[in-house]
Amino acid sequence: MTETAAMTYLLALSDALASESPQVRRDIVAGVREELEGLDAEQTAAKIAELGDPAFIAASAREEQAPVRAEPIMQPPEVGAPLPTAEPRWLSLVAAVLVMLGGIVVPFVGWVAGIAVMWTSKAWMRRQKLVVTILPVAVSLAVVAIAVVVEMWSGGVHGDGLDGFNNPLLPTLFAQVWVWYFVSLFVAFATGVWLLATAKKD
Amino acid sequence: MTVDVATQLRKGVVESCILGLLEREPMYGWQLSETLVGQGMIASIGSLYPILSRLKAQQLVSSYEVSSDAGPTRKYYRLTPAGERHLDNFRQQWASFVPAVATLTATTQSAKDASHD
Repeated sequence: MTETAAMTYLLALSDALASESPQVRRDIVAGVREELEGLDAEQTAAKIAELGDPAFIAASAREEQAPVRAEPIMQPPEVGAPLPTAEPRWLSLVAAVLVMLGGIVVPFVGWVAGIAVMWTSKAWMRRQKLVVTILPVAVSLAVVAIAVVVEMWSGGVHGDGLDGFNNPLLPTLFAQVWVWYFVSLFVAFATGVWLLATAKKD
Repeated sequence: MTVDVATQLRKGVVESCILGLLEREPMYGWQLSETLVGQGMIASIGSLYPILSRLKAQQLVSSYEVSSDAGPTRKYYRLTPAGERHLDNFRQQWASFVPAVATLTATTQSAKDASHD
């Protein structure tokens, strides 16, 4: 009789707590079970009456887990420190577009302007800014290095004894400069697109 | 919109009240529940366990089981060192908080009396 009453109550409680987290449900049922263990019929009935309706216990649990407030506590700024201001959305947009296309409109200077604006913006992490700054320079240097190697190799093969002969399969200096220019523009464009895609929205 | 002030106040302090009780002695769930319900700090034992769960997650309390020949095996809760520090900090905050709120919410007459004293 006692076991049945206690078990019935615990099952009703477990059902009432069905929508709670498994941890809370387990803890509450275990806590109540502790109280009902080893009691005789009279004590069990008294304890159940004291515990109250399982639906009320479940409602209490639900109420307790409801968030009171989600706002973080604002910290006052330090005395003399500049007040933080929101960065205008257009700043990151201008930086990305200048990095993408600045070098086409005004060779080199336009790209440098884009890099300068990018470094003033908080829309990207420092590491990302470093990549966008260094990558085009590194690729340009690599292209120049390859051109120099090709030129040396070309001179080594054809420079002696074959006056005036140029291998048509090897690029001329003029062509090498254009290759360098377009590769640089392409890398700048690609990094600009990356900036545009990854800029923080707030 | 009506704001239930008592509920908001209780929610703000009930965790620290539990820490205060556990500082005196380790207690099991029902013991804590009876005391807190009696003081009007929680509605029922259902309110207690979500709070204990939060306190455990923050490592402010820990639990252990005690078996007994005379009664059921019970899970006891006790304060951790981090819980003691948290409680000390609460006491300091509370000591200045209560008079500040009392001053700010005093009736006009009692505020005048206080300023004449």
